[in-house]
Order: sequence, then C-alpha cells, then structure tokens
Amino acid sequence: MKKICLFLSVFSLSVQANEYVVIANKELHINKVTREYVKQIYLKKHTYLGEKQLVPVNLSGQSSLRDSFEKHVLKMSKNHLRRFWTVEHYKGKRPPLTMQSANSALKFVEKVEGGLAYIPAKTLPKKSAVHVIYMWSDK
Amino acid sequence: MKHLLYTYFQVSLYRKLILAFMLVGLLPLLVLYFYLILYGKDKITQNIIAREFDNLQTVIVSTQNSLKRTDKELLFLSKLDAVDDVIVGDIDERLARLLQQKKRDMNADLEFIVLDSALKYVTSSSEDHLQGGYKYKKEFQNAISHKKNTFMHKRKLVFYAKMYASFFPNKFLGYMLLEYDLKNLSNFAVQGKDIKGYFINPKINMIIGNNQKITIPVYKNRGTIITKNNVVIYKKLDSPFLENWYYVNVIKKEKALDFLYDFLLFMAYMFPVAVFLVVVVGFVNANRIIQPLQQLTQSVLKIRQNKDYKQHITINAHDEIGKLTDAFNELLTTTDTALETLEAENRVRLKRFIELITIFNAIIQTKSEAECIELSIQKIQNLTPNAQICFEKQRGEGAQIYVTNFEKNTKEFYGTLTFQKEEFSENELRFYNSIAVMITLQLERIRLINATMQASRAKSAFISNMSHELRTPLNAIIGFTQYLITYESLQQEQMEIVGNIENSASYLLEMINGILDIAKIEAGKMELHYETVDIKELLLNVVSMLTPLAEQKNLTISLDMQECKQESIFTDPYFVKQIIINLLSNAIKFTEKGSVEIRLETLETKELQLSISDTGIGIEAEDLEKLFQDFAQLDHKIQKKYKGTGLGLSLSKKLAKLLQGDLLIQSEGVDKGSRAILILPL
Repeated sequence: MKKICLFLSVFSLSVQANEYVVIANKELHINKVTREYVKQIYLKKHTYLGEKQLVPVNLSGQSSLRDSFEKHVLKMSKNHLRRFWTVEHYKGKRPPLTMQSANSALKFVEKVEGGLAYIPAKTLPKKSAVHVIYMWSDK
Repeated sequence: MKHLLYTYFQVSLYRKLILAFMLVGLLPLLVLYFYLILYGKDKITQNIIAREFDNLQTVIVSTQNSLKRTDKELLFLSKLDAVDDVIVGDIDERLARLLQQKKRDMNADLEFIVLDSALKYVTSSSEDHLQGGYKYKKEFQNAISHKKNTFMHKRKLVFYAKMYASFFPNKFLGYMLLEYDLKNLSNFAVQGKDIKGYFINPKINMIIGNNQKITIPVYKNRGTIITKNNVVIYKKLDSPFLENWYYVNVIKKEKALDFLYDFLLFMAYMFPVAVFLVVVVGFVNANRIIQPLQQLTQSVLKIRQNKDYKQHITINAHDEIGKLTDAFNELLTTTDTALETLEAENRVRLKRFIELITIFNAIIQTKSEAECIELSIQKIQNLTPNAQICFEKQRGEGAQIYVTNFEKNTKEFYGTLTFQKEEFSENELRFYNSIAVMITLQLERIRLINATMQASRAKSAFISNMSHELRTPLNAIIGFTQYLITYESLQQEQMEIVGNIENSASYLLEMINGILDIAKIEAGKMELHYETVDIKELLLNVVSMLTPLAEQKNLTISLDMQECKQESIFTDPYFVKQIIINLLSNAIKFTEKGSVEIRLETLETKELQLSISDTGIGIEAEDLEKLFQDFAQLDHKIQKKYKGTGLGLSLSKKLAKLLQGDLLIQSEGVDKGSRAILILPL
C-alpha cells in the first residue's frame, strides 16, 4: 500500500513539475529520510549507516540538477557551500565525489555499496539496484 | 768525422750558440712531432674513450630519469579521483579525455590503457574503442606474478599501476597501463655524423636507434672495442625498467683522428718555417752576442800589435761582456803601469850595468896595481855614495883579495877591500865581492902582463945580442973559408971540407938572420919602409932570379899576370920580395918534377893575390897548421933531404901580417902538390 501511495505521489509530481529523487544502493537499508538527513549526508555530517560507509555522489558543477539539489535540498547558496567545504577541507574532509551525468551517477550508486546520488525522477529505471530515499521538485 | 764535428763546434762560440738555438728551438718541436706520430693515435683514442664514457653515462642517466618520470606520471594518474569513473565504465569518457590530454602533454609515442580488475579494457588514450579482455593479458599476469614493475611486448615497454577508489582506499578498481614505445629511446641516443648511439638488448636481439645492424661480441657491464674503422664503447643500463639493455656509442675512428692527421700535416708544413725562423733568430742573437766579443778580440789584437797599453776598449754592453771589457780595461791599466815600472827599472838597471861596465873597462885599462886599486875605489865610491870604501894592506873585515903568484903558482894575500855601510843587501854583497874578484883579476893581469913583457923583452934582447955576437965570428969564418977556396990551392979532399965549413956557416948565418928578423918583429922593432912598388916588375925579377934553380931540376915555371889590373902598390918592397922569394924557392925546393905556376890577380875585395902552385910533395891536412910555427919542418926524411932553417914560412907569415896582408898554404895531401897564397892590401 505504501508503495502504491509513493508511486502515485511521484507520478502526480512529475506531471506538475520536474521532480528529482535521491537514490541509494540497495544494500543500504534505509527508507525515506528527511531533507535534513539528506543534507547531513551530503555535508558529510553522517558518513556511516551502521557499519556501512556512505558515499554521496554529486553531479558536476555545471549541472542544473545540482543547482536544484543545492537550492531545494541543501538550501545553501554556492558561496555558502564553498565556504563550508573550505572550512571542512581543513578538518580533513573532502566534498562528495562528482559524476558528470545522472546516468553515471545512477550506475555508480548501483555498483557501490553505500552509494547515494540524486537523479531526475524520470530517469529512474523500473528495475534498478537502487531505491529512492527522498524526492523533491524544483517548483 | 766525430772529431771533425767536435772540432768544428769546439773552436767557435758562434757555432756553439747557433747549435744551442737550434737545439732549444727545434728539439721540443721534433720531440712533440715524433711523440704525436708514435703515441698520438693511442692517446687520442683513449681520450675519446674517456670522454665518450662520460657522454654515455649522460645518455643513460637521461634515459633512466625519463623512464622514472614516466613511471611516476602513471602512478600519479592512477591515484587521481577520476579513476573512480572506472566503476561506471567511464561512460562519461571523463577518464579517457584526461588520459588523452596527458598523452598529448607527454608528447611521446605512448598509450595509456585502463583495465578493470578482471583485466578488461575500460578506457584508453587511444582513439580506438578497445573492448574485451586485454590483448597481452598473459604477459601482464606474468609480470604481476613476478612482481615486476614493467613488462614488454613487441617493441613496447609497459608500465602499470594499480587503481583504488578515492572513497574506499581498499576498493581495488583495476590497472592503469602505459605502453611506452621503445623507439622513444632513440631520442636520447646520440645521432651525429661521426658518432651514432644505439640501445641494444642482445638477449632478444633488439636494436633501438638505428636500422644498421651491429654486432658486439662480448658484453660486460662496460667495455671498449677498437676495430679497424670504429671505436665502440658500451655500458649496461642499470635500470629497473630495462633489464639486459646496453647503450652503445659507435665513433668513426678516422674522423676522430682527422684532427691529429691535420695537425701532423700542419706541423710537417710548418717545420721548414720553424727551422728558418729558429735559424734566423739564432743567427741574429748569436751575432748580437758574438759581436761585442769580436770587437773585444779585435781591440785586444790591435793593442797587442801596437803594444799600446794606454788604449782602452769601448764596447756598448752592460752585460757580462761589458763587465769583461771593464775588467780587461783595468788589466790594461795595470799592465801599462807595470810595464812603465818595469821599463823604468830596466833603465835604472841598464844605467847601473853601463856604469858597471864602465868601471870594469876603466879597471882593465889600468896599467899598474896602485892605479887599479885607486881607480877601483874611486869608481865604486861614485857608484855607491852611501858606502865608505877603503883599501888596506892588512887583513880585516871585507873582501879579501888574493893574487896568484905565477912563478910559485900560489895565492898570496894582497889586501882587504872594506865597505862601510849600515846594512848590506845580499845583492850588494855579491856586487862588492864581484868588484873584488874583478880587481883581483886585473891585478893578476897586470902582474902577468908585466912579467910577460919583461920576459919577452929579455928574450928579444938576448936573441938580438946573441945574433949580433954570433954573426961577427960567422962572417969571419965564411970570409976565411972563401979565402981558402979562392986563394989557397987546396987538395980535393981539403976543398970539400972547407966547402962544407962554408956551407954550414952560411946556413947558420941565414938561420941567425931569420931569428933576428923574427925577434925584431916580436919585439916590435922591425921598421917598414913603404913606397910605391911596381909589383909586376918585382915579381918578374924574383922569377928570373930563381928560374936557374928550376931549370936545374927540369921544372917549368909559368907566370900569369893577366888578371892583375894593378900596376903598382904601396908597400915595403924589401919584405914583399923576401916573402915571394921564400914561397917560390919553397915551391921549387919541394917539387921534383912537374911545374910551378905563378898567378897574380886583383880581387874584388880590393886586394892583390899572388898564388904559387906546384906539383911537389904536398902536405897532409893535419900538418898544415904546424907550417907557420917557428923552426917547423914537417917530416924528418924531408928535413934530411931538403935543407932549410924552418923559419922561412913562419917569418913570411909574420911579415905578411906586418904588411896588413896574410899568407895561406893549401894542399890536398901528400904528393898532390901545394899552393901558397899571399894577399896584400891595395
């Protein structure tokens, strides 16, 4: 029932605006999470889930999807993010690795345990080794 | 030859200098030339080898550094975050672009290849889309299993590095490979006209750098091979990437030695020029050195020739020759001073000598002993005014004079010559002693002369008196005997006896007259009566007077007066006639058969010569000297046969001397005749 409801809601969103999903490797036993949780993962505040290391994947800086992600999920400007990672860099932390395309990001998440990425909802294959843990639209 | 050469150089400093310049100038050149000919090739070859080993090492180090850089570059790339794209099969081709960019940057013939952990192609820097399993999987796995850093396939050296995920350090992603084409090594090999470099792996028979095949027989870690045309040097690459590889440089030998040959040719051409220059420089400098010496020699010779020791030599030189000249001038000054001193001393000595001779002359002129002593003291006193000289009859200190007593033949003390002076030098003593000896001699001489003259006068007086006393009774005897022969009628036997008495008395009178004449001559009492005499007439008279004697013995007398240019001479005719009669009568007397030749001639010495030659008994050479002794007749047999006083020739010689002429007797021996020569002054 939950699956049906989620599917309907995603479908309804896609009709109205560009919708995006945050996906995670199947091996990550994680369900829907809050935006704040996603943000914590991408800012490397949360790096492990259980014993598994989380590997968030960003898209390249020119990607509009990334802009939407930063705006709606992270809710941080680029300058803000840059300052944040500059500070974190000195703490020994590196920003998430990047993939150039949503396709490669999807493939990465499929192959890497602990992998997380965001992709347009419409590109999500029906049968995939990933599962959606969060979604948003840029509306 | 050796001696000639030695002499040639020994006698001339000029030649020695030329030789020295030649040796100094040319010997190093010759030594260098022959050294280069004998050892030049080896030295240059060794030098090339040493230099090329350095170049070899440079190439090897450059090559190794390049390979290390390549390896490090691969390692660097394999650690980039971008390799995370291997996970997604580099579907964005982001890694491929990165490798292509790197390939372009490295600007070499190489290829990057990315394999996943199953050794399948993921991506590469190649334009080709490689798919499936890695083509050289077997070789690669072999290298991995042997933990080698590289492996080779075909002509490619393959470097490889493992890739891990940036987010999971232990997540092995696969391998990044760099296929390095070995022909890239040729960029490091030396490629010149005369030198070519090669990378060689003899194990797999691979050569990089040139298509030309070369064979190197023995490989050590490093070595040199000198062939007819090339010098080959090689060294093993001590590299973890290239095992069993050598770098080889092949140098063309002739080109390397070209410089040597050119230099030798240059030297061969330059040698005559060098000889010329050395000779010119040698001659110029030798002349410069010798000229002052020649000037000095000329000056010395001139001084020696002129004996002008006041002259000084002027040579414009301030070196050793200048010093020699100064020293020589000082020597000249010293010599001149010494000569002047010597000359002055000689003058003094000569003066002394003359004075001494004068003294001696004066002493020997003295006639009496008193005069001799007095004059001697006076003269010596004049000569040595500082000394007081006196003569004493007593014995005392000084020169003792002993005079010989000739009658007793002993030395008798005469007196003492005393010299009073503060100090005597040895020479002065000798001088005074010599004077004493001289005085002694003169005293003896005076005594001897006086004794002799006294004896002579006594003898002459005795002879004169005796002759006179003898002649008177002899004249009486002759007168009586002639009276008996003429006026008394004597028997034959008596007649012979009285005749003998007359002959003996006449002979005795003749002898006494001769002795008287000789005595007169010796006593200096013979008086000459000079007048102008017709010599030819005088001679004819004598010849005609004695011709009967010759005719008695059947002798021919010839008279030759053609060469006599003189008609008359100024002489004493009586004595001249007496001499000629004596000579001609002797010639007739001592000639039994043959002839007597008389020749009168004028000599170029302005003398008149009368020669009387006979064919008589002659005289032996040793007897010729005895002829003019008083009472000399040579052979007893002859004396018996030919009567004579033996005073004739002696008297004739004395008379000839008295007339300023001379008388000579010549004979070649017994039975070879004799020749009497009378010379009279004109």
